[in-house]
This record gives sequence, C-alpha cells and structure tokens, in this order.
Amino acid sequence: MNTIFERLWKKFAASKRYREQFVAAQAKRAIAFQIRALMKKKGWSQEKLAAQSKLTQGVISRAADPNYGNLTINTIVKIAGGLDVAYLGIFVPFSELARWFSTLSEESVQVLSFEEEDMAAPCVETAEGPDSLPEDLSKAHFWRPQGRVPLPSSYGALDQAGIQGQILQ
Amino acid sequence: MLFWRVMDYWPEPGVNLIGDWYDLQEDDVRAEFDVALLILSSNEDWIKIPEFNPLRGKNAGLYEILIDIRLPREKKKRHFRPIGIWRPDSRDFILLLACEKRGKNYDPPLDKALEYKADWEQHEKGEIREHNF
Repeated sequence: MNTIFERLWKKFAASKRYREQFVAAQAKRAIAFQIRALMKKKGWSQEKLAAQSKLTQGVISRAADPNYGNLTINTIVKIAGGLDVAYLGIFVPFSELARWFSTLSEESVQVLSFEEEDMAAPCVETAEGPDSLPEDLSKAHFWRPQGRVPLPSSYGALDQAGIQGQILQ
Repeated sequence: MLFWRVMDYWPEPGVNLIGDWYDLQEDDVRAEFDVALLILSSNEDWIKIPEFNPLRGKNAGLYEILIDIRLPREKKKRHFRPIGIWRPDSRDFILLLACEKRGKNYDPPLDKALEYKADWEQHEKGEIREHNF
C-alpha cells in the first residue's frame, strides 16, 4: 500500500492547480488544527487564549475554525504571543509539505512555550560562562545541561546523534 | 500516522460513490477535500469540533464533514458536505456519499445516505474499503 507521502506526491505531480489549492487549504486548516491541539494540551479555553493573546473570544473561535479562511498574519502572531511560541511562516518545498502530513498528529504539532523550552533545553553558554551572552550569538556554543527535563520529541535528532549533554558548536 | 481510518462505502462491486464524486470535482475541491480529511483524521476527538457535525431528527446517526470553499469565478462560498457513519469504537468514519448544501437542502438528499446506512448496517449490503487519499 502506498504511503500518504507517495499518494500526495502523485497528486502534486499531476496538477499545478491541485498543488496550489492544497497549499491554500493546508495554510487555512493546519493553523486551526494546531491552535486547537495546543489549547487542548494546555487545558485552555478560547476565553483563556483570547485573554493571553489580547484578542476577543470571537477571534479565537474563528481562528480555530478551519472553514473560516480569513485569518491574518497579525492575528496569528498575536496568538503565538498568547501561547508564547514562535511562528515560522516560511516557504518550503512540496516534499516537506507531504512529509508534514505523513507524520501529522495532535502530538506532532505540539510546541513548548518559551518558558517550558528554556527550562528544558537549549540555553546559551559562552567562553565566559552560561550567563553572559556574546555580542555575536553565532559564536556561541549551544549547550544543554544533563540531568534536567527530557527534551521534547522534536529534539529527537539531537539525541539520535548522541550529543546529549555535549557542547554543540 | 492517522488517528482515524476513513473508509469508503461501496454499495455494489465497482461502485465507489465518494470516489466517483471526487473524480468529477475540479482540483480546488479535490485539494480542499483531501486536506480536510487528512487533518480531520489526525484529530483525536471529533466531538465539538467545527468541521464535523452530527445530523439530527430523522437524519440522526449520520454525520457531516463541513467543507466551505470559495471557488474561482464564484462570489459565494460553496458548502460541500461529505456524509457518513462515525464509529468511535472502531475509530473509523465510513463515507457514504458527498452532498452539497444549498440553504437547508442537501444535494443529493440525505434520504439516499440513510438508505445506504441501512443497507450497510442492517442488510449487510455493499462493502467498505479504506479511503484512498
């Protein structure tokens, strides 16, 4: 049996119009799915997320509805602020889109808030010690102390590489 | 990785109503339908989510997936409603047919979906096969 990736790829290859509309539908529906999944995991109501995002409950309700379709970047960024997570709106190849669907689940779209992430993982260490930042962050070593909260699954590649607790250059 | 399996109802050999409907749609509708089903299938809980709705009254036992899209050259949104049987115990959704809703009316009428539901559940007529996304 073909995988989701293979089946989607076949459809992408068959029609540019299909590809374009697939991107449009994903952009509209995925954000609603992720907002709901994140709220569920946190046990947040729409009212709670609205208050955190400085938006109304009505805006959150529409953002969580995949058929709404008129969500603005401004609203998305405010919701990201309410959840204290980043929003990475970038162009990607179709293979990445198909792969995203191949592994899609409520768990796969979970992200840590900044505070959770800061407690769990990468902090920055410099030659002078972990508390001082160099002017040029690209020269910093990214370091994760051992014996703390386990990394989320999205950091699996780091663990697989066998570099847990080591300095990354 | 999908949390729910989506199945197609085949009322008789060689007749896949959902597949036949899909083949007749333009790419815009096909893409929206595929994304809607893939994301819906990834939701762990389908209760009280805006794109899924239990039908009531004489249509109780049927469920609809809400897909609203604005097609090119058309001013108003179109309201597609794939209709099926939701089975939480076996964690699947059986697609019976796809309707379009205009006002309060479904085209084709929901009576047809009720008929297929009865055929499948009570008369063991037809078969279900995994939906081919």
